[in-house]
Amino acid sequence: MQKPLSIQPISLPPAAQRVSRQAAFAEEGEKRNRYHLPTSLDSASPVGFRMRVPLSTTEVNSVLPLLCLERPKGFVAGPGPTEQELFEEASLGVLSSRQSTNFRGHRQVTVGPTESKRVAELLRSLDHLEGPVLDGAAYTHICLARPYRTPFTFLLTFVGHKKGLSLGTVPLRGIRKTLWHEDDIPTIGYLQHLHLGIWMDAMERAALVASQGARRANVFSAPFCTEARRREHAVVNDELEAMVGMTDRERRLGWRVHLVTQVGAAQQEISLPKSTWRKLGANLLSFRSERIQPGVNQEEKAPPSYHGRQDMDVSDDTAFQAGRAGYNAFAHWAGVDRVKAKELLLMERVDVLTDGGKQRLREIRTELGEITDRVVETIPLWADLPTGKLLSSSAERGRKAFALAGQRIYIGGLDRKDVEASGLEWNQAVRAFGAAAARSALYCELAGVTELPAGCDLLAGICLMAGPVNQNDVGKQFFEYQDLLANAYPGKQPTSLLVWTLKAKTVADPIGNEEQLMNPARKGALVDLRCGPHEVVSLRRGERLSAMRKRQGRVNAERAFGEVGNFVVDAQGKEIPGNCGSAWPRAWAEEKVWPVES
Amino acid sequence: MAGGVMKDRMLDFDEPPKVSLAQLLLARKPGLKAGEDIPRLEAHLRSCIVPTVPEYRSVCGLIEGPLPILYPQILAEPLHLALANHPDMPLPAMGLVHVRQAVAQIRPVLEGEEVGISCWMEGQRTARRGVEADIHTALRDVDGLVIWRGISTVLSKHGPGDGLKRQAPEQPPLRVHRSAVWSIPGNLGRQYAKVSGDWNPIHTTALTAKLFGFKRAIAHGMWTLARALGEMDQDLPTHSVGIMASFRRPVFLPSRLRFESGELGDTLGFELREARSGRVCLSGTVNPLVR
Repeated sequence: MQKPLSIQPISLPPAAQRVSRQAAFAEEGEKRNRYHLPTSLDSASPVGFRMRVPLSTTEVNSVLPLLCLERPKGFVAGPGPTEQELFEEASLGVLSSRQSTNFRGHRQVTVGPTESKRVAELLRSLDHLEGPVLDGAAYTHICLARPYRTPFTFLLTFVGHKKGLSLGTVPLRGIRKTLWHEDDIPTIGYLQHLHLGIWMDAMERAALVASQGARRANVFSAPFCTEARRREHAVVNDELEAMVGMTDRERRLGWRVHLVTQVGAAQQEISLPKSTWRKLGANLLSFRSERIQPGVNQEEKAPPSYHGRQDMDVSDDTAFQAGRAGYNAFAHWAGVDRVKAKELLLMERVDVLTDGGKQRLREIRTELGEITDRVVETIPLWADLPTGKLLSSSAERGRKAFALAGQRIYIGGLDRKDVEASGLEWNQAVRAFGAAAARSALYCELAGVTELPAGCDLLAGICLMAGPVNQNDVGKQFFEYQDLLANAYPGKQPTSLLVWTLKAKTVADPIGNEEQLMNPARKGALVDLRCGPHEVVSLRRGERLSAMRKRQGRVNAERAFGEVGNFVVDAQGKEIPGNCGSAWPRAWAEEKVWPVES
Repeated sequence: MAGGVMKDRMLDFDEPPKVSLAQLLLARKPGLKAGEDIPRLEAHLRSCIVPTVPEYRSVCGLIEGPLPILYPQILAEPLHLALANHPDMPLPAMGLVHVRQAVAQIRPVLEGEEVGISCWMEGQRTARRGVEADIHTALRDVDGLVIWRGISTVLSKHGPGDGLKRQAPEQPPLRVHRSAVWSIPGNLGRQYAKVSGDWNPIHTTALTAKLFGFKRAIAHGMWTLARALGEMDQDLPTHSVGIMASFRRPVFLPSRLRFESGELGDTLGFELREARSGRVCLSGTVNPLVR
């Protein structure tokens, strides 16, 4: 049973310290940097560059039950979804749930009421279900994922090899990664499950927000969380893969069914004013519209608003409620009680506000720095030199991904032995951990817009980072370092999974990707790396699979919940061209996707 | 004349005339000399059935519904070519540049409806680098009522220009409600040619466009305008609509364009710009027609 949450607003700084981003477009001939607004945005993503929308304490308290949802107990008959509702649901789910912007490892195929009946029958034949399969789903999302692979994981292929043997061991590892989807270090494999956990937690809320409280989602993850479980249910798995049109090539690339989500009309609707639902949706996208990096923007070239001192803090009460949100999520998704959740989730606070925190942070920075040095030293020259030292310079650049700055910094992880002793599958526990991290972050983000005054972008920002734990894992696997949590939990064998950095501030981070803004070839235009719906969401109608919002030669240009109007502008109110998007044709958006009502 | 009767400068057709690209290319036209005027030339198609146009909608990204607002221009295209190919038309057809388009849709035209089409042109205006001429088009329903009008303004350099740069009238700033980036594929010209029947070589391939002085193939102006109207969707008036558009510079294929629309004073304004340079390719306004 999850515990209810209440909002603990962040205290405002003195009026003189209430500053905002106030980003400007570069003047003609002015050298661009990441503090300038991009000249334009070219994107089919529903996110765009958004500002946070202030919510009243009453409004936030009214939406907090969405952070402690229990599974729906049944669906009732209701109207089928319009295309617009499905788009908005996908916008809050697969299209914006937190994952690296340069990794497109999630896809979703949504089937209608007829196929949903068949999916329900298939689900009922499975073991390890987290809850009852429900009748009467209006539609079902079948969610696919593939192993986490980015330029960083390519670099990892060259790390940790013995001199003299690397000519053989590097290609061998590359082959094992390609053919058997093995990971260089375990935490890279866990990233896939962390992201899935974040996604499944987002899906529960997405169904509600997109339908303004009318529909609920019933997510199943555990039967699909390992290859062994998939093999147990090979026939079911094959039928689901056929339903989503999975090809042999996709299977070879590691795509698998990882989640199945039934969505149907709720037995009890959640009643909130329409404006609250819409502002919440716009806010959820605004939280994902920039990469939050608390505290690392005080470089010399940053505008004055980033330099000023701000006397504000995240209170213990806020942190306590955020923790409660996280434990709620872990208990919900792992299927354990809250006491067990507290036992299993390992946390160490390492910021300067704790006793010995400064020293601990210094130790971590030193250790991660040493590991980076050893990575750079040991990258095989035969690979590094012909690429103009691209590999070693990339490893060097990675240092900034490990920066630990913020008023509250927590390292979180799990102990595999403890998890397995509790009867939990490790991957499912990692997913639950991802959901816990995302939900606690969401609590802080909501606190950061509660009673947000004019002239402030936000009141608190949070960053979930995997970089430091991945780097620590490189040290563990190849250079005999111990886990980041090892000292805090001497009797255990912890695996750290994520770092939270949390800061109270009123200035949002710079927008977008520095490289793209400053790359002369791009001339300041920002190519959004986030997906458009046509790239990752398919709708199954009869035997036909069609990409969402790809029609008559057009693809989506709409920003979801765009009517709220929370788009980033300069001080004069000028918008970033391309940022506010263009609504999908109304006739298409209002179509019932599956004309037969569920 | 196949399917039609020529009475001096008035052409009457029972079915759309067929004027080949070769005819237009090979026609010897002297151009317009100082003191000369384009005579009044008319072409009439007595009756035709408005077809269903799913391929046109698909190429232009338009939703299903009444006939797309610019499609009558395609229906009238054979008549326009017949005028351009008329022996008394002094300007060569190849090299006419479509610079503006005005449309008044009195009421939506329906697929399957019987209509008559009339086109005419007469006289010209002096421009900076040549002369401009207006080609008028009108669609009438079976009762003879005009249901759609268009004026296509073309520029020809084969006439005496005055070298004077004309200042565009000052406009209020566009208050943007829609802002989207389009990726235009390289084969768009051929796709549009298939559905419009306009195989003008400047639109179809880079090679043929180069023969006419363009660095690459260029998008058909009526495609860019149709796509822009499609983007505005529910912002457009639903019944009687007036459109004014200026084709300011060619859209080279492939390209990325930025579309913006919103309030422009009391009207709905729109602009299409090159995504990188920001240079305007197309601008215009849309108004409900007051009858």
